[in-house]
Amino acid sequence: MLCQICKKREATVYFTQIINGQKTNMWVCKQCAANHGIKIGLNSLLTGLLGIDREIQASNNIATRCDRCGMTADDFNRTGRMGCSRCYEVFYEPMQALLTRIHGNTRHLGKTPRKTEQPQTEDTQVEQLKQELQECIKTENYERAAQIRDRIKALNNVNGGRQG
Amino acid sequence: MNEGMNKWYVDAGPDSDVVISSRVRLARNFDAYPFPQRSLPEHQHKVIEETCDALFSGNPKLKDNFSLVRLKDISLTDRQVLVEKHLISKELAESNLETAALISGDEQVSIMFNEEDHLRLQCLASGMQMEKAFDICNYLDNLIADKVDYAFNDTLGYLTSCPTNVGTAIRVSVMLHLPALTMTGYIRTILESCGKLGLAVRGLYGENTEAYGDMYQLSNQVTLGKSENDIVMSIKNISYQIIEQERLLRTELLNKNRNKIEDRIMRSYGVLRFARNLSSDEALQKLSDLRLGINMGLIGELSETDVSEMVIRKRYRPRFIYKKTY
Repeated sequence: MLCQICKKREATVYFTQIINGQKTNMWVCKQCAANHGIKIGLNSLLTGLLGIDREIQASNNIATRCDRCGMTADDFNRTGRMGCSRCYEVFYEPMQALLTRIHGNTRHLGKTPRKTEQPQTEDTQVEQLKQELQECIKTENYERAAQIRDRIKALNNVNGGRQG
Repeated sequence: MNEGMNKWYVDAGPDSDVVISSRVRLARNFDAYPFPQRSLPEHQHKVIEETCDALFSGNPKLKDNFSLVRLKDISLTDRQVLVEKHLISKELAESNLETAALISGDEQVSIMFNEEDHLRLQCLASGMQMEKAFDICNYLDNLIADKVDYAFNDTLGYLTSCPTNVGTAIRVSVMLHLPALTMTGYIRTILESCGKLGLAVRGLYGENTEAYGDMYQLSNQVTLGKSENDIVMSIKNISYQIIEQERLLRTELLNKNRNKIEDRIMRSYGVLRFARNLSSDEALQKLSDLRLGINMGLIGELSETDVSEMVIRKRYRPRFIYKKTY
């Protein structure tokens, strides 16, 4: 495919731009990409997406620096990288917005490390079990489905007891 | 490294007519230390030490299978070889942190230390074997998680240096050889639809590389809000649709243009056998034709895995082909 800007060279960069929810796709060559200030690489695409304005943050008394590793919102906007696990708590809200834009979702649905399985709340356990139950029904694994159903019942009883 | 051991690519694996290899990569970080870019050298050493300890203490058999390579101890050329074999990334080879990699004797598994994240566990498998690759990653991940506290959050999942990996922190990819789709130009439509489905398509050597030798790497982009299994299944489903298209086109090409296709393949074979100087671009293109010829049954004296080996080990010098055929 030819570059959609110069229409001469072979396009090697597939470029997606999203401005205010408006998506434009383009095939361009490396030279035109450079000339038009299209930086290639995930880093540069992420940069600025955290959307933290230092002055607004400071005036609203919102943290602009991670108290553990010292990463600032500016650092993130420049590098596109978080500094440590604590940063995800410090920059919780802007990060939620960014994650929604990247993944369309902000809730983890996969594996959990073995050791953290313990403190998991009953609610998320029930949610996971319900999903597993659906899968068992789909694959007609009724024996396991019955076990899961009993487990959900038990967990719901615990929850109910607490609320009452 | 265990040079004598059989490497993963000596088996063709399922659907090897189109699928070259499958790969699964998990990113993990220690909760105790800042991510590599913001950590101190002593943190970086600890990451390497504690991981090795978690994997190997009480597991001497596993230990014999792996060798630890500290990047600072090896030459630039040796690093380049590891990059070309897909055992480490370019970024790791060029990093100035305390980087290392644990590499299994069959070169199927590698764990990179202090790249973008503390740990990058990766498993390669020939042909379409994503589940196998995932199971191996999962096994090693569990061994480490028994001893190490990962950076993990109940809502966001595994925390990574780059927000694009948060959640499952898994990257599932498959390397497809699509000469017929490329030759006929249909590949463009396919690449566009992959983009719409949220899949990334890259060239042979990962991010920002071109598709040399008609080889395309398909991988997931979304890591949050889907389970590992869902991600594996969706890549697999889409791959199979593309594989079917490629197969149909190959048959059609052979039925309609047998002479032209045969001529192209045999010319490439000739060049590979007798040329004295080949650039790597040209060699990969000719090897692509050669692989197609083997699949189509035109070249009986070589196998797909010979081609994979030549691509992976960069041994496509004419002498190597002679050695294989005589």
